[in-house]
Amino acid sequence: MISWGVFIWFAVPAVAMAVGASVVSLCFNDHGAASSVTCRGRRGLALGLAAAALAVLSAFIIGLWISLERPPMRTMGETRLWYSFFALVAGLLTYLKWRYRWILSFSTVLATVFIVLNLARPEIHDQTLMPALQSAWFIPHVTVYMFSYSLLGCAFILAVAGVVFRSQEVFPAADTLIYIGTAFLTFGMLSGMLWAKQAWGHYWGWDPKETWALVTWLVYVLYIHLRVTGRGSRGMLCFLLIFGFVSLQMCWWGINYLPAAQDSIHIYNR
Amino acid sequence: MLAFPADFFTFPLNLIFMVMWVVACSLLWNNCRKSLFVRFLLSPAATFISIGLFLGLCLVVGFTGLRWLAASWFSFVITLLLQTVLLFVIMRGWRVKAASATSPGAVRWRFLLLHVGLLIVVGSAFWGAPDMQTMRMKALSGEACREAYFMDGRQTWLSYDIVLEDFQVQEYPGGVPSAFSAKAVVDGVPVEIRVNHPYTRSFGEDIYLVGYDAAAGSESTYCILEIVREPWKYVTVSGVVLLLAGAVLLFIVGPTKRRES
Repeated sequence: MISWGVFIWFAVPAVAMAVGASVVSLCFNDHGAASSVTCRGRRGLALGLAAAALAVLSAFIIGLWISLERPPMRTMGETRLWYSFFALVAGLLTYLKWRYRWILSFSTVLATVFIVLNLARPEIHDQTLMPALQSAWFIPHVTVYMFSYSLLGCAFILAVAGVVFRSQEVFPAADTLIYIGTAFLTFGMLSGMLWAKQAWGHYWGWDPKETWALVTWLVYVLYIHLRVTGRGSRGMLCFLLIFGFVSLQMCWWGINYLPAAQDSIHIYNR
Repeated sequence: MLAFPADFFTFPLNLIFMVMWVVACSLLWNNCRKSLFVRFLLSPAATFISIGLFLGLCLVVGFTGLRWLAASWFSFVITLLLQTVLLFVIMRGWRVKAASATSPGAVRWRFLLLHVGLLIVVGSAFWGAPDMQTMRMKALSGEACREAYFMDGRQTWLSYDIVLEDFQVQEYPGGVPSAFSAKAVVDGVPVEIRVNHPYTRSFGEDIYLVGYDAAAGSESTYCILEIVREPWKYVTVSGVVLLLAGAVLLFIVGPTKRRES
């Protein structure tokens, strides 16, 4: 039976392979002396290692799903697991598309932080699923959000790179991540609205989680409008991407520590 | 004093004011397009201000937990500004982009779906709020009940009877409830109400199961039902569908080049 007790046996190889993929991709240099055959070989190796890390994490998720007899999407530990998984997916996709050598390292760091958090505080909960969560909306709502969170996490990394290197070059890639991330954020929020109507009777209740989800969405909407109209300085755009990521963390787990949010009805994931 | 008197604007007043607002906006659009006011509403600054103000409102509610702010005059003004800007950019987007051969069709449709969808979702919440009613009642086993209470404690009477016939709680090993359901007769119709499975009694009126006597479990002799009247609920759904379609195009089409202006 797969449980959090054996997570370390999956986590260590997965992190090791993700780190391996990052190192290989960092060493690979488009403009260096290495021949293109070597380059392609290293790229292939990096991609292979990243894919293998994902396969190991997937095996754990599937195993946990089967042994819990419910989707592992309820507790903080479970959503962190999905976040690590999708962070690696988003990093891999960004690497495939734009070939930033350093993106795999950052997505690995992001994924590793949440894997380590899960090892330190797995928050093992019982197998029960409260009636409110027994809905067809449950799986799409959570996975769509976790996927968008990881894409927006990669955009956050790009924004930090934009600040550190004082570069405008990160924006085209950040734009694509933000468009896709915001699309999935929209799916998440709208599915949440429809589910809330079915479960609680109202589309929108200004619950802290809902409010912070809207804050996050509006920040990225503002970023998109600034980009479309060609306004907004580099600093402003980077600030919005970083602020968007912070409000996203607030929505995901920060509200658990916010005194004004203690009456939230989204309490099952503490 | 800061609370917006939404109760005053119940149907048909809200609908009349909404039509007046739409007519006023389209008159402005058709006759005063060069005016400073219309030019402002169509400027990027107005877009940033309306999103920024709405964001600011959400941040204040998010940090303070003061939900009543969402029903205050501040929220009224900010939401009305947001809708007005949305309506104006939609009117421009519809006309300008239709006449332009350079704008790819998917981008135009994405723009329209997202903005019209958002306007409908925000608008239905805004104009429909006065018509929304939430009541709770204690449905007693074997007794016809009509007495219900609004969320602010005011008493009211339903126009039909609800009788609780049977109440069941299923539990996980360990005593945690896994599911609970109420069999009831609502206005002569036998129904089963569960969490996530409300009973739709009529257009815009749904009945939800929200609670029971937890100590008694399946022996509970009553359950708490919530009756929600939201006549605008399908308007919201239509906006959600448009927004979803727009979000699909956001995903498929991706970023576009900056507008030349």
